[in-house]
Order: sequence, then structure tokens, then C-alpha cells
Amino acid sequence: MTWALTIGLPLLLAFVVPVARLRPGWYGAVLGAAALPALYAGMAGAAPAQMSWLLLESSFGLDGTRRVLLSFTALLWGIAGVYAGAYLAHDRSRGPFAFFFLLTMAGNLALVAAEDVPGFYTGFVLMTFASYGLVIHNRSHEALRAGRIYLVMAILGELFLLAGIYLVVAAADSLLLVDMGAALAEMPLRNPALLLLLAGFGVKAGAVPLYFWLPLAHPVAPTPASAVLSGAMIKAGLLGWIHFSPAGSAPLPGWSGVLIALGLIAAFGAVVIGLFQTDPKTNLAYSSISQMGLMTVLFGIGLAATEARDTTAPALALYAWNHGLAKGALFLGVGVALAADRAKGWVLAGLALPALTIAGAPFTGGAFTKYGLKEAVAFTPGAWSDPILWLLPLSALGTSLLLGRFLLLTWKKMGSEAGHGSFRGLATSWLVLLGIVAIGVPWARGHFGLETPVPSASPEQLFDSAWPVAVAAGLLFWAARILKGKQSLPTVPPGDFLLPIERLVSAVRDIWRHRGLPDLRQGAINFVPIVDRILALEGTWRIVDRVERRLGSWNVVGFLFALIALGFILILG
Amino acid sequence: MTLNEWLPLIIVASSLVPGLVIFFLAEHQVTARTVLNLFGATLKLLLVLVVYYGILRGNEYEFRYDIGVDLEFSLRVDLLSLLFAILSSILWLVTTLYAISYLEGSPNRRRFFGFFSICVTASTGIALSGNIVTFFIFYEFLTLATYPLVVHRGTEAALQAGRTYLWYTIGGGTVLFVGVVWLFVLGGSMEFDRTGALAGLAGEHSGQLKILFWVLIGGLGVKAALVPLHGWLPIAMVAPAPVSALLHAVAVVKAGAFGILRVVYDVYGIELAEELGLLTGLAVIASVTIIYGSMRALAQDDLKRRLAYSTVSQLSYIALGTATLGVTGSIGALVHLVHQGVMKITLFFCAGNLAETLGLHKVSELNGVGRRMPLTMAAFTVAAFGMIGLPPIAGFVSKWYLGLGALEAGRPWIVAVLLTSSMLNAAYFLPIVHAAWFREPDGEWTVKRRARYLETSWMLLAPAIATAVLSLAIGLFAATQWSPLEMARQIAEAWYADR
Repeated sequence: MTWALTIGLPLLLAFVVPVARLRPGWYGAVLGAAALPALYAGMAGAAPAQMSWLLLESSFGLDGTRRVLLSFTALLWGIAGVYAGAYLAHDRSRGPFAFFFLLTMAGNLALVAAEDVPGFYTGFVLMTFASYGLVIHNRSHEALRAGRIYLVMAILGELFLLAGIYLVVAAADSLLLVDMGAALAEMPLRNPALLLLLAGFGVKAGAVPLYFWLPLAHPVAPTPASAVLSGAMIKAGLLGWIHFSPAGSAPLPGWSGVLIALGLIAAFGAVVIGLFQTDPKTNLAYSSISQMGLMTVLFGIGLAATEARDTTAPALALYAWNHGLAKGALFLGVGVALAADRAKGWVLAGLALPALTIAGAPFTGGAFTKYGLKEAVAFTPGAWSDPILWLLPLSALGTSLLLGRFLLLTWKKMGSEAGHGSFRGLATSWLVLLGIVAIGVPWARGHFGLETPVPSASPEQLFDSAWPVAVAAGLLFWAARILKGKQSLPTVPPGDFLLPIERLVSAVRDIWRHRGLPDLRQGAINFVPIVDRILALEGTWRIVDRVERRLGSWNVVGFLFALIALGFILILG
Repeated sequence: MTLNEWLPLIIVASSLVPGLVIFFLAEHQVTARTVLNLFGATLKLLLVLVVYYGILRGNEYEFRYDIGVDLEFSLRVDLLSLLFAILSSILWLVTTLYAISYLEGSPNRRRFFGFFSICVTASTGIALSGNIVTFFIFYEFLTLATYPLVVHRGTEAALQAGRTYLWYTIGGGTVLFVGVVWLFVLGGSMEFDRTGALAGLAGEHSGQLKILFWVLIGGLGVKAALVPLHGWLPIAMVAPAPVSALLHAVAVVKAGAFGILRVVYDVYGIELAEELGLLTGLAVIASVTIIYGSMRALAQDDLKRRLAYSTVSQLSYIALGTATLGVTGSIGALVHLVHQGVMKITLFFCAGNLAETLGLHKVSELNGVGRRMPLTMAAFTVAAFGMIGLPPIAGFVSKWYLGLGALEAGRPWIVAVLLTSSMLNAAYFLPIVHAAWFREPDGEWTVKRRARYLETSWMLLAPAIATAVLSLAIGLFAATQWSPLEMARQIAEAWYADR
């Protein structure tokens, strides 16, 4: 029952709300309430349930990691739902928004709770396609462009994914997700399957080099949708990796190295590009790519040795919890800041909290999760661990710089859209989320029994987590002094190397169109005109006439008859 | 003779008799005609379900009549015939409902409904045929019964299309005739119950059997629209929407696909076909058709033409699954026979609704139509997503089994074909869905047909919604006992039971 409600309630509401002509004030309550069964299921750890009538015999349930994932996913969706009620108070197309929001929510919750491959994939697909409606909600030129690129990448990802899933399921001879890891470890086509799956889920997770749709699509959606896109849905890719990884069954040092390298490239590259963005939401999207990079590193470490997973799995779950909620709070905070007509300083202070958390400042949840990452590095194969230990604090410095720049950008735009939405309505749900971000990580660690290492309050460790933030603050202050008055800071277009790709695509299309390659609109195959042409030839009839006349003579007919008779005898004999 | 022996004949007659009676009614006797049509369609569906129930309880249903010279007319019910018969009975019922409203007030309806019923008689006959000779009789019968429907409008384009249709199908019929006679000479009337009747001849006549196989596929491939024999299908879409719907979902194209299933599994037997190395060739032809059809669909602006090329592509999934050795692949082929029918008929109903209500025929005219006709476009969206293969709609289940079956048979390249096709399907269906729901309309709609409460007449709307709901339900509840998937599983497992 819990599971039927978890997925059924948002699904049902998705079809009811747009036609029910609710009063605007009710939207927030309804969208928020849709996530409540899932929140209960996650927090209380609902028992698994089999639904043998559904799809190809679906089942739902939770394990340690997915319980954490479902809880924060539901929490974020619920709060974003309430927030959306206030955000869309004056938006006349809130009906369609609610439809896509609830469908996407249903997909996201289903994919976390599913225990079988078809169920998981169904949730994944529902989430992917329904969120297109969220991305293009405001129908601006940028939104439609972002939507198009999002869709193309999503479909490509979907194809990689399905190919990989076919390979693994065929080898596993089972539809249960728990059997996939072991099958992957032993199957002959392990490497191609892993590559397909890593790429397929990597699109959603914003992994290098498939991330470029993300800085376009996440910011352009309405703010509550951006929050769930960047906070919750991005983790679906990560969950996919976890489901379809042989971690725990067989060590894969090669893949581990590749993932760690890609993760580090994302962690640092996204910071560099993100610093050159001028829109606070785009800046946050790059921060998501960077943070997902660090989670990729953690996931990669888990592949290095069979026993590593016991350390990395809870660390990854906690990291995802912290980043999901904090990133959600940052996105929602942008909306609050733009609407702020008073208390601007308080809003900025509020935004600083999740920013500090993500950067891993002392006494925040992020300090816990970064420490968990650091401890897991011990499992990396030999030569890797020292450089990673060096790079981690540098990445914290990068994150601090990026989010510091975010705070500056937001401060500049503070109150620029005041009067559009209700500041109080937006701020209320945001404050609730901030409260959860402030105390959530240690609580979640205890509640879900995650055995991750706890940073001690020794001066040494405090220094470790404090200096990147402090140095970043100093650098930003210095840069702001130097650049004062100079407006022409270089910028990088969102989606960075998307531009060359788009040029390439249009060049290929031009070549196809203008260089005489087959035009698919022309030249259908039809044999009838050919037959007509043959029949219309004078020669055809002359031949027929001649044959007809020959057949009139007895010796030709007799010969043919003998030939046919002989043929029959041969066949029958 | 007992009732069980007569039942197959009664099922066939349940549409033939109303069809013949309709010819003798006057054009204006609309009520009588409607009652007859719906009575026949309902009766057929009920009888088929009764027989299904009987088969599950172990009864046998067979009608035999000796034509002479060793030729026997035989109607026999097995699970495969039921799968096809149930599909065609259900879809005939909804299409009849649709056609009554669609053709309201147009001339020559007597001729239309008469041949419409006869057309269904032929496809039921194909489903129930117990041997290749009976199959061939109904197969040719279908060709002739469909021609008046294709040219129904009587326009220059329709007559031209009719000519093309006849050239192709009669040409294909001739080739099939050669194949059937050849088979008859080799192994008698080829009852469909003796699986692998030709196996005994394999050693001696393997060369002949190989050529014969391609002759049969060549004959059947015309109706099954295998490239390069598919040319008639996109042209024949000038027919009225209900005809296209039935043509593309159950009647003509399915007759070809069903024939290929019978030839591979019941005439040759899957093992013999594999032994002779015939399956790879068939898989390659099917793959080429799948990709080619999708590429062509991509370039069409006319909605029905786009759907027609999509049929070319989707239909070959059945041939592809047939050519995949192993239970899983066969399940995929069988279940897609049903799934493709239900989804494609939905798409054609929707295309018909757009044309009949707002006069829209082109993809480029569909901007914002979702707001004007939400229920029609919702049905279209469900079916289109199903065609792409997105869960939880029927098409996903087909592709799931086809993909896994390909790997089971050791042919991973088929997975690549399936996924490329999915991508192309997305490329030609999603722009329609996007334009309908997310674009602003270009201007005022010119309304051809008004309805008081709904977006269009309920008799046009209800069939489209019913089949869309069915497409969703047979995917969502695929694991239940009464799903097409379960039936396909039983059929396929029986084929491979001896292995």
C-alpha cells in the first residue's frame, strides 16, 4: 500500500490537478503533499512489496543507500512543491506545470524505489521525458533551445542505457536489480556493457564529457524545477551507476582509474568554466557538475577493491543527501533573493549556509561528507591516493570560489524581480529547507545508521576544512578590488563546448543537403511505373506477338509439353 | 459434425454473411446496416473468446472439407490463430464504430461496408487456416476484397493507388502461388500442426528448400512490406482513414507478417530454417526494412504518409523476431504482432480525427492542435511513445523481448538495429508531439465537423481513446495472465518444447 501510494499519488494528482481548477493557493499544498507517502516510506523504511501484475512483475523496496536517497528526494520534491505554489502564484500556466512536475516526481520516486530493471527503467524514462515539460516551461528562445539539446542528449543516453541493460539482463537471466552487479562481474561482454551503462547514466549525472546539456537545461527551468533537477534528479544517474556496477563482486582497477580521472576533471573543469558565468543559476549548475565529479571519484574508488564498497556506499549516500538538499536550497534561495524587497542581508546570510555546506566548511554537514570522501581515498590503487589527497582540498577551494562568485552574482540581482512572486511564501518553504540543511547530515547519519567516519573537532581538522573557504574569500575580495569598474570580464557561453558541436551538426546537415547525398523526401521505390514503361514499349508487344505465333505450331508446343513432363518426373522422382 | 467442428466456419461466416447482406440493402438503410455490422462484429468477438476459453480447457476446433485431388480446405484453431483472430475481432469492432461516423453522409457506403466485412472475413480466414492451401485462398481473397476499399473515394489519385496496389499484391500472390504449388508437390497440403513437416526432406532437397523459402518470403514480403517490396503501402494511404487503420494494423500487412510466422515456424520449423541458414538472411532484410522505413518516415510531411513508412519499419520487427532463434525472440515477434496493431490503429484513428475535424493532413499544420483536440492528441501521444518503445506502453515490451532475444541468439547487431530504429522513431514522432502540445497555433482552426460537448464526434473519439488505453494497458499489465504477452509466451514455449 505504501508503495502504491508513493508512486500512485503523484501520478493520480498529475492528471487531476490540471483539470480540477484549483484555486491558486492550493497548488503548493497539493504539490507538496504528493511527496508525503514517499517521505514516509523512506524515513520509516517501508517493507518491500511485490506487484506481480505490473509491467514484467515489478517489485519495490529499499536498501541502505536507496533509503537515504528516497528520503531526501521526497523531502526536496515536497518542499519544492510547496515553494512552487508561491512561485507560480501569478503564472497562468501553472496547470501544465503541475502536470509535468507531478509526473516527473512520480518517475523519480519510482526509479529510486524500484527493485526490478523494467520498473527502474520505466521510472527513469518517465522522469526524463516529463521533465522536458519543466525545462521549456516559459517557452523562451533559450528554454526551447535548452529543451531541444536536453531531449537529444536524453534520447542518446536512453539508447546507451537500454543497450547496456539488454546486455546485462541477458547475461543475468534475472530482472532484479540486485542480480545485475554479479552478472556484470562475470559476463564476457563486461567492458562494452559497462561503457554503455556509464555513458547512459552519465548523461543524467552530468558526467564529463556528456554534461553540456545540463548548464543550459537546469537553470532555464522555473526555480522549483531547477532545484529538483539539480538536487534530486541528477542523482538518478548516480543510482543507476550504483545498481549496474560490479562493486562488491569483482575489483575493476582500470575502470576505477578512468572514473576517478573523469571525476576529477569534472570537479575542477566545471569550477573554472563556472567562474566565468554571469547568471547565478548557471553558476549553480556548473557547481552541480563539479560536485557530481567528486561523487564520481567516490564511486570510482568503490570499484577499485571488493571491500571498498562497504566504505564508499554510505559515504556516497551521505554525500548525495548533503549535496541534494543544499543545492536545492541554493536554487530555491535564488528565487527568494530575486523576489526580496526587504531583509536582503538576511537572505544573503541564508544563502551562505548551503554554500558553506557544499564547500565543506567546519561545523557544516559538508565537513562530514568531505571527510568521508577523504577517508575512502585509502582504497585507491597505489599511486592514485597521494595526488587525490592533495587535490581534494584544492577542489574545496574551487568550490568555495565558485559559490562565492555565486553569492556575489546573486547579491547584485537581489530584489530585481521583487513584486512578481510572494516573497513571504517563497521564503517560508526555503527557511524550512535551510533548517534541514543546517542539521540534516549528522541526523541522517544516525537515523539511517550510516557508518561513515566523523571528523573530530581537533584544531588540525578544523584548519583542514576551514582554509579553502578562507582563502577563497580572500581571493574573491582581492579580485573584486582589482576588477572594480572594469565591466568587460570574459564570459564563457553556458554549455561551453556545445557551440562547436552545434556547428559540426549543422555543417554535416549542410553537406548532406547540398552535396548530392540522397534526399530522403524524394525517390520512393515503386515498381509499377517501370512495369508501365515496359508495357508501353512497342517492342514488348512485338515479342509477345511473335511468341504467340510460335506457340501456334505443333512442334514447339509438343517440345514444351515434353519438357514440362520431364520436369515433373524429375521433381517427383 | 459437432459444434466444435462448425465453430471455426461460423467465426469466418460471422462477418461474411453481414457483408453479403449489406450488398442487398439499399444505400439509405443506415440503421439496418449499422445493426448488421455491429452485430457481426460483436458476435465474432464473442465467438472467438468462447473458442479461446475452450482451447485453454483443451478442446479442439477443426473444420475440414475435401476439395478433391488431395486438396483440403481446413480451418483449425490453435493459439497462434487465436492471437491473430482476437486482435482482428477487437480492432474490427472499434474500426466499424469509427467508420460509421467517419463516412457519415458520404456516398457508396453500402459498397464500403460490404467489402469492409469481406476484408475482415479474409483476415479471419487467414488466422484460422489449418494448412498452406487454405491460407493461400484467403490470402488472395483478401487482396481482391481490399481493392474496392483502397479506391473507395474514386478520385484520380485513389484509382492510381489502387492500380499500384493490385500490381504489387497480385504480383506477390503469383509468386506465392508458385511457392505453394511447389510446397504441395514436395510435402502435400502442409498442415500447420505438423511442425517441421519438411524436416524429413532436408537432406535430399536442401537446395530446393532454400530456394523455395525465398520464393515464399518473396510472395509474402509484398504484403508484409519488406523493402524493396513495400512501395504500395505509402501510396495506398489515400484510402479513407478507417481503411488505412485496418490495413496497417490487422488486415493486409499483418496477413503478410502472419504468413512469414507460419512459414518459418509451422512449415519449415525454426530448427530447419536455422539449419539451412535462412534466418540470417531474413534478419538482414528485416533490419534493412526497419532502418529504411524509419529514415523515409523522417522526411514525410504528410501525416498519413509518415505513419505509413512507420508501418513499413515497425512491421519488420515481427519478421526480425521470427528470424531470431530462441524463445525470447519469438515471444517478441508474436507479441509485436498484437502491439503494433493496437498502437498503429490508434495513430491512424487520430490522423483521421485531425483530418475529419479540422482538415489537417500535414505534420507542419499541427502546431498547437493539442489545445484544440486534447483527447485525440493524448491518444496519439500514448501510441507514439509506445512506437518509440518507451515504457510502460506496449511497444516497450515488444522491444524488450526482441532485444533480449537477439542477445540470446548471439546476434548483438540486432540490438543496434532496434536502438537505431528507436532513435529514428523518436526523431519522427517527438516533433509531432512537441508541435501539438508546446507550440502556439498558427491561426484560427477551420472546423469541418462540430460536436456539442467534445472536440469531435464521440464515435470518432471513443475508438482512438479505447485503443490508446489498450496500448497502455497491455504494456502496463504485461505480466498478468490475460495479456498478449502471456499468450505469446505460451505459443513460443510450445514451439521450443521439444528442444
